Order: sequence, then C-alpha cells, then structure tokens
Amino acid sequence: MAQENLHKGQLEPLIDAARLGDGEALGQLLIIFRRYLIFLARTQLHQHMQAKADPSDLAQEACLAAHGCIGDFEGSTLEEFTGWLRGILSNVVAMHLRNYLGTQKRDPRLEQRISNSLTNVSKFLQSELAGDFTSPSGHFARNESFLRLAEALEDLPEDYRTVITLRNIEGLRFSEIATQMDKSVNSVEKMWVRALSKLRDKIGHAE
Amino acid sequence: MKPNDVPQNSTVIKESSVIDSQEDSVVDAVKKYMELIEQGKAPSLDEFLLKYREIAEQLRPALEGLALLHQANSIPVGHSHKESEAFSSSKPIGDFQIVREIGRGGMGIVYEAIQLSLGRHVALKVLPFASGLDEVRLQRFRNEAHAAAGLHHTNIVPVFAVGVDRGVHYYAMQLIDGKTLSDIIDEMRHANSLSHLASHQPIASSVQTHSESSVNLAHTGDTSRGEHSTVLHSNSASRRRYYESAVRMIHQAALALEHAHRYGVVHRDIKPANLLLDSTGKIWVTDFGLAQVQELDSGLTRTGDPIGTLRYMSPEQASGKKATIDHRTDIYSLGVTLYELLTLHPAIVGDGYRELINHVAEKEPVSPRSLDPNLPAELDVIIRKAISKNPAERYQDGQSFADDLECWLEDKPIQARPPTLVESLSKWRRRNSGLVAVVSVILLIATIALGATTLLVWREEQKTKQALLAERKQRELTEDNYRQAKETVDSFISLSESELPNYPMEELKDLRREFLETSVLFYQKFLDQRKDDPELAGQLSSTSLRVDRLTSELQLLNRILPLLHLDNPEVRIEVGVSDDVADDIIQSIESYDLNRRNQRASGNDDNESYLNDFEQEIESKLLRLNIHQIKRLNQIARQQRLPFTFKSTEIVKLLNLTQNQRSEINRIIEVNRPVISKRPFFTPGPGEPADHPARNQHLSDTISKTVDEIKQILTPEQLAQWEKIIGEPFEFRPRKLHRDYETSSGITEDK
Repeated sequence: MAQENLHKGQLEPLIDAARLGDGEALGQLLIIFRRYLIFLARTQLHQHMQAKADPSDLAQEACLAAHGCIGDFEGSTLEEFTGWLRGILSNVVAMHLRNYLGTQKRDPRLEQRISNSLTNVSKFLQSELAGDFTSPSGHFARNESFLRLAEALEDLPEDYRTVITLRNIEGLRFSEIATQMDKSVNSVEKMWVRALSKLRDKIGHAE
Repeated sequence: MKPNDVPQNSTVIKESSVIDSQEDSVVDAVKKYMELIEQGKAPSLDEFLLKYREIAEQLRPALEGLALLHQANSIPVGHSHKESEAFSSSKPIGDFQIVREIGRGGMGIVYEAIQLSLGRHVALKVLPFASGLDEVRLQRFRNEAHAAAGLHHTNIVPVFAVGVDRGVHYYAMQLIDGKTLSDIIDEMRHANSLSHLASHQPIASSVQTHSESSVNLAHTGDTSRGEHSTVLHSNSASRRRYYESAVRMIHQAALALEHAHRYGVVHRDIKPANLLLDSTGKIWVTDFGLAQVQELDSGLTRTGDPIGTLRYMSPEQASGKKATIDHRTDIYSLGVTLYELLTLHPAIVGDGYRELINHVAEKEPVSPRSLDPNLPAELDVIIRKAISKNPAERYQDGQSFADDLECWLEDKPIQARPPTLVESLSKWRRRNSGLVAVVSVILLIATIALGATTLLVWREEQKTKQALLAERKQRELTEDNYRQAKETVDSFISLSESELPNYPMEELKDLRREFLETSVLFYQKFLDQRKDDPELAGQLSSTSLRVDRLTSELQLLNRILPLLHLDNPEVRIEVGVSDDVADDIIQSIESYDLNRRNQRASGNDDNESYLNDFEQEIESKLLRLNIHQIKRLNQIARQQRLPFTFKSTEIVKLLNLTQNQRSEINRIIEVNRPVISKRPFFTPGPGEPADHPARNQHLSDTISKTVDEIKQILTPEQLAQWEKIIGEPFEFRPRKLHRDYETSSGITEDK
C-alpha cells in the first residue's frame, strides 16, 4: 500500500491525514521516508562515528520522535514534511554526536552544522535531480523522485554508496577518498564507475 | 543494511570481466564527464558518448548513473534510446536529410542521407565535437577538411561538403556500397578460426555497408569468398591468388595516398577500417582530413583512443613527435594494414594502452613470413620496408611503395632490400628481439658442443675397450680433452648464470662475441689435436667446417666493428680520416653484407669466397689508413665496450689475464651493475640521442668506477699494457640530429 502511494505520487494526502492524527498514515509515510532518513543519517556519520552508531538506528529514533511530536507539525506540503523530518533527524544526530564526543553541553554551532549539512544533502537529492528520470513509467511524481534516489543509494553495497557520497555529494577528490577508504586511488576510481552503473541499474530496474 | 554487501548483480559480474585497460579508459571518461559537469560545461550524454564509441557499452550505464545524480541533458532509462532518433525525425542538417544510421565511425556516426538540393544519396558523418571547442583549432580542422574535399582520385572517397548546422559539424561524402578491409580481415579470421585475433573494437569503423545489400565478394576480381576463407589452408595456387588480390588493394590505396600527398594532404589515420572495398573490387580510401578530429577532441591525453586503432598508428605518432609526422606516417600505416591483410595477424600486439604504444614505438613486429611461411619473401621484404620504425628507411612516397607492389604482381625484381649488416647492428641497439638471435647462436654452439663431447666420450670408451690404443699419449690427450670440455662447460655455465637473464642488447652483443670466441677457441684446439686421427676426422669434418666459418666470420666481425665507428663524423675528425675514405670503407662493408645476404637467400651457404674477397677488399681499403689511425679506431671501439672490454678474448690474451683475474673481473662487473637502470653500462654511441643527461652521467660514473676497480687487480705490467691498449679517452659529444654532423665533418678536410 505504501508502494502504491509512492507510485501514484500521492504523498500529500497522506501527510494531511498524518497531521490530523491518522497514525496509520504517518506509519506509511515513515516507511516511505525511512531509506531517505537512513541515507541522510549516514552522510553525517561516515567521518567519525560509522563504527559507533548505525544509521538505521538513528533513522529509527527519528521516526519514533516523529510519532511523538506529529502534533507539532503544521505544514501540509511534501517539502514542509520533508524539512520537518530532517529537523528531527538533525537533533537525533546531534545528540549522538554529543554522546560520542563525551560532551553533555549543547553546542549550537555543532547543531547548526549538522542541520546545514543535512539540508545540503537533501537538496542534492532533490534539486540536482534530473526531473524526468522517472517520467517514462510515471511511477514518481517529479517532486518525490528524491525518495527513489535515496532508496537506490541505500540499496547499493556499502563501498559503492560511500564512494558516491564522498565524490558526488561531498565533492572530495579521489586521492582524499582513497585515504578515507584505505584503498588505492585507482581502485576507488574503478569502484566509483561501477557504483554509478549500479545506481543507474537500480533506478532502471525499479520501473 | 549488511555492512559488507557484496555486489552480485549480473552487471557487476559482466563488468569485472571487461579487460582492465578498457576499464581504465571507462574510468577516465567518466571522470572527464564529471569534471565537465562540475565546470558546468557538460555536453549531452549522447554527444559525449560519441567520442567513446569503442567503450560506449561499458560507459553508458556509468554516465547515466552520474546523470542521475547531477542534472545533465539526457537521462534515458533503458537502452532503447538511439542517437539517430535525435536526427532522423528532425529537420535536415544543412542540405542533408538523414535517412538512417548506417554505422558508427571512428569519429562520429555515419548516416545515410539525402542531399536535398541534388536528390542524391550520400554518407553523412556527424562529428562528435563538444560544444565550446576552441575556434582556432576548429578552423584548422575546417582547413584540412576542405583540402581533403579538394582531392579527386579514383581511389579516394569524394567529399561533397563540410559544414556546420545548428552546432552539428558534418562531413558529407559519396556513399560507397562496400565493406571495409577491417570487416574482411575479421571475416577471414573467422573463416580461418583466428577469431581470437580480432581487435577489441566492438563496432567497425566508418562502415558504409548497406546491410540489406552486402557485398558479393565473388564478383570482386580475385577476392572470391572461397579464397578468403581458405587462405591459410588452401593450395598454393589459390593462396597466391589471395596474396595478389590483397596486394592489388594496397597498391590502389598507395596510389591514392600518393595523390593526396602530392596535394599536401596527409591522412594520418590509415587503417583497415578506413579502406573500403566496393562491389567492383575497387579500393576507396575514406576519412581524409578527419584524423584531426580525434586530436582536436580528446586533447593531450587521448584517453578515448580505442585500443584497436592504436595498432595502426606510426611510431612517430605513438611517441608524440608531432613535428616529425609527415606523409610517411601513412606509408607506415598502410604497410601495417598490408601486414594484417596478408597474415591475418595484427603487426602490433600488446595488452592495454601503454604496452601497445610502447610496442608501436619500439618493438619490431615479427616478420610476416614467420607467421605465414608461405608468404613470398618479396612481400615480406616490402612490408618490412614499409613499416620501418624510422621514416627514412621506409618507402619515401606512395608511388615507390605502389611500384614495388606492382613489380611483385608482375614478377619483376623489387626495389626493397633486406636490412644490411650496418642497419641491423644499429637497430640492434634498440631492439630486444635480437635476443632471439643470440639465444639461437648459443643453442647452436651448445648443440655442437654436446654432440662433439658425447661423440668424443663414446670414442674414447670404444678405444679403451679395444685396448689397442692404450698408449700414454692417448691417455694424455683424453685427459686433455676432458679438461678442455670441462672448462668449456664451466664457461657456459658461468656465462649463463651471470649474464643471460634479460640484459639489454648492448651487452648481449658483446656476450655473443665473447661466447663465440670462447667456443671457437675450444673447438680450434680440439680439432687441432685431433686432426691426425683418421677415424674422428671424417665424423668431425662437418663440425670443423662450421667452426671454420664461425671463426672467419668472427674475425671479420672483430675487424669490422671498430671500422664501423667511422660512420660517426666525430670519430672521423678524431682519427683524421677524410670523408671520402670513411664513406668508401663503410660502403664496402655494406655491399659485402648485401652480397652475403643475397648469397644466403639464394641458398648458397658457402660464403668462403665472399669472405676472402671482402677481406682483400678491406685490406686494400685499410692501406689508406695509417697504423695510428687503425690503432686509434681500435682504442675507440674498446672504450665503447667498457667495462666488457676486459672480458674480450683479445684483452684476455694481450694482458695475459689469469683464470682468477677473469673471474674477479666478472665479479666486479656484476657487483657494480646498476640494478634499476634498464640499460646498464651503455654509453651513447654515434647517432644515439643522448637523452637523460643525469642518467648518462650516472652510467659513465658507474663505468669508470668499475674500470678503476678492475685496474686494481691487474699487475703493474698488465696495467701499463692496458693503458697502451685503451689509449686516451675519446668522448662522443651528445648531439641530437644527424644534420649537425654535416657542418662539423667539413673541418675534416683541413686536418
């Protein structure tokens, strides 16, 4: 059922229903957004805490928090709902980072940084998207395709996802990526190309 | 999410089997596209892919993946999308309405189109220019394309128009109903079960074939399909017919090149895929003026070069010496094409981009005849002349190439000659394939040695059994022989151990001489002692004959080698020999070598008389040199061979070196041998570009250090003798061009 809604590009009625207290609608929405949240969480973790925290856990926490405070959500558009979820995730990530760094004090700059970073990643997923890549089958509404992309990215093997994230989203150089991933530049480059093909494959096969 | 999810998708498996070099070019291409995206200059995906048609299949999914992440112009899902769709249904390009795609060319897609104003069908090549191409270079392309369009020759595909419309560059030419030589070679390989030799090009270049009307080769003169398919297995008559038809094709192409060259147009991308055979058996050279496109387009790195076309690139192109590229680059590429057409083997083989480039630039291809023993010797000679690494050694124009091919067709003598001794010696410097020659000489000697020794031992046993010749003298002789045989075996082993493993030619040349000298010495002694033994004499006479010949040749080689230094004007000045005399000597060495070869080619193995004649000739020439000049030449020759001079028989004899000293010398040379350098102990000789001054400096330092160490183990008498033998050091000044010699050699007259 969630898939159906996703395919019809009918997320906004769900959002409306969720805001008005329909728990089931919110549940469906969170299932649809789950991969997106995981991907976003992952982009915040890769440098320091990948080993310490599981992005799925963070996304799960964000979903739970969303359940708890759906009443605070006042928007109605997909854009607003996405932003609201992202804000929650940002808080969850910041809290984990504080624990990880061993500081209990809130650090507004850290939170601002996470929030900005999450926004950027999300923007990348949304605004950079070629609008019509889903058009042949019409499975996605144009403004929803970023969810599909996030899913495809999440579906990739870990190394593939990492290399794409670092190169295309973070904009690192291959030499830097190679250091981070502890591989040779050449193998990172090859992996990147394979990852791109694979990503294209995932999107293509989801038609 | 599993942390180490291993990709299992079939796409990945397919990709992993793609050869490495191809993957490298895919990686480079994707990186390039990413850069373009980041600079905001990315062309559409399809436009970009045009440049990489060889790897398009692997490249496309990755680029589409990239396009998913970054907004690009075209992100199709699925593989149904075709570039042709972009044009075929749309407005005409210039005067041309596209009908359909007929092939993917080396540079762009070829469409069949209708020229609207004339209503005729043409082949329209749409060139893959990225937007924003630098205007100056674009103009250069247009100039060249227009020059090519001005060519009118019966074997050149006429160019109707070159132009640009709505940012699309196009090139319209006559539509030829035929197939490319590349297709024909592939078919033949297939028919001869040589498919594995097919180039990695997935799509033949510049195909203008009508798919619905494939060429019937049965009507194309001698090139009937039957002969095609059986060339390697068939009887000699049909083989001959195949060779003739292939030679006729290349003959036509050579005439076409001659025409273009006269008008100053160099093709620069001659390859089987650019030679079309039409249904009447006529050859058409296509894509004149288009070689530029690749250069224009892919800039310095040329990462998009399909591996397949590198095989036909000339050495000067491969080494990037743009200034030295002239019309002879086409002669080379046509020669390589003939090579492949006749043998069905590519002349240049190698894995990956780097290796191929290196092989084009440096590695001499195996002779066509060694691939196809039935190939007439003349054709082998013609091909090898055409594909000389050095442009000056090739046919100097298309006409002379065509003439020689025609001579062969008409059973007249050809002009080309096998390389002479002097050429071979100078080529030896840069070619590793000479190793084969050395190894075969060694094998020959080893075989003789083993045979003779076994025979000897058997003989001795027989005699002992008979107990008839058990005199003391005989025993001594046997012991003596045994000791000699053992010595030789020891020499063989120590030589092999210390020297054989892949050392460069410069040393192996010396090694070969050393080897011969050692072995010949042994056999001379051996034969000498045995000459009174009637029983052995008969059985050993053939061995003795070979040894005699080896000895004579060796002595001659030892005398010639110092004289060959006279080729260098600096040496002429140093020794004080006039150009006339020097040229005369060099010339007689060359003509001797030519005679010797001709003799051998005609099956006459007895070169004794030639040796004698030549020796007399050299003797008379040498009369024109005085004793000091000869001495100095010998000194220079010895200096050139340092530190290996110490190992030559001559020096061993003159210095009376003991066995201990000799092994000590071997040890010192081994210890000092540079490990990293690929060309240890190599002093640049005449004509050798003195590149890498630092390395040369290091080498000469190493050499003098080695020589100093060796000197320390010499006795004072030996040392004094050595200084006399080696003389004042003579140094070749590093120089770049042969031309420089001419000015300096004029001074010689004054001396």
